[in-house]
Amino acid sequence: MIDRRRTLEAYRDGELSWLGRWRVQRWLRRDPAAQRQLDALDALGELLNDVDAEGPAPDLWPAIRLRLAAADVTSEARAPALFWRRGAGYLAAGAVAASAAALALMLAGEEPLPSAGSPGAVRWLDSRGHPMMVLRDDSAATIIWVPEQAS
Amino acid sequence: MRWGRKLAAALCGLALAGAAGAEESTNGDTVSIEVTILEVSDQPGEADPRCERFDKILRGQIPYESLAVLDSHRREVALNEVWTLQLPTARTLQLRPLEVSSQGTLLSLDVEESVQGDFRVHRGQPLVVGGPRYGEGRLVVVVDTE
Repeated sequence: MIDRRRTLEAYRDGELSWLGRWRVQRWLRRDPAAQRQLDALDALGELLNDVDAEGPAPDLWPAIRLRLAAADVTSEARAPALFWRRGAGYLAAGAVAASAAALALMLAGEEPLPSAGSPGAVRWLDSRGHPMMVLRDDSAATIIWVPEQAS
Repeated sequence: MRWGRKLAAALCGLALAGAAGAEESTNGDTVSIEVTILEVSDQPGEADPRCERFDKILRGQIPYESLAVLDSHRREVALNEVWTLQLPTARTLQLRPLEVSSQGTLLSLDVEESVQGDFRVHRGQPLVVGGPRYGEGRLVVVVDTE
């Protein structure tokens, strides 16, 4: 059974010699089960191609983008307070904000990042290594889900 | 020259007084924070009218059958003051308002051994943190500011 499948996979992938292809084609004409198995392999191959074409999971990029924006906005939001409390830092905060913005632009491509005026609430977020999802972050609510186990 | 020095000294004095006044008014600001602790469960439960608002927020975001309010706290918290609450999971929740402006309240949140972060929240824009197992379901903390 495994040999049949390997032979059909090799035939489908174009790995057989001319003589090998001729023998498989003759076998397929005589054996409907083999033809069905080949059809199944074709269907599986198309499914895998579709999955590959979809790229990474759609929820990854928004999460990454959120963190980039949070780094940017945190530096912007905290810079004035640090200035008044510690008497220093506009230049440093500006440099950090500019670096974060440049990094964000490099990684974001043409898609605009959420700015400080975006309705979302998250400015900085860390889950201490636990898996975490930002399920929602808009003007209505911010929902952060950390499906950790209770100790 | 003397007048110049006096004028400079007066301006410095005014500037210092202004800065001190600004700092004082900032420290005097407080933020009203309400923390509601919920349990979401896969088990069906009785409809709790207190949960209506939370149900609207959470429905469709996480799977659950019932929602129950376990506890609720409200406090006026001064800027930069840390409000520490004990959660039913025996962990602590710490909240610290950092700044209040027309853009909302910059709030720092820290759940012990879990998530921490800074959030710019507005009135009517709750901050919801949930996930840990508790009882038959999972614990959800809702933070509202005014």
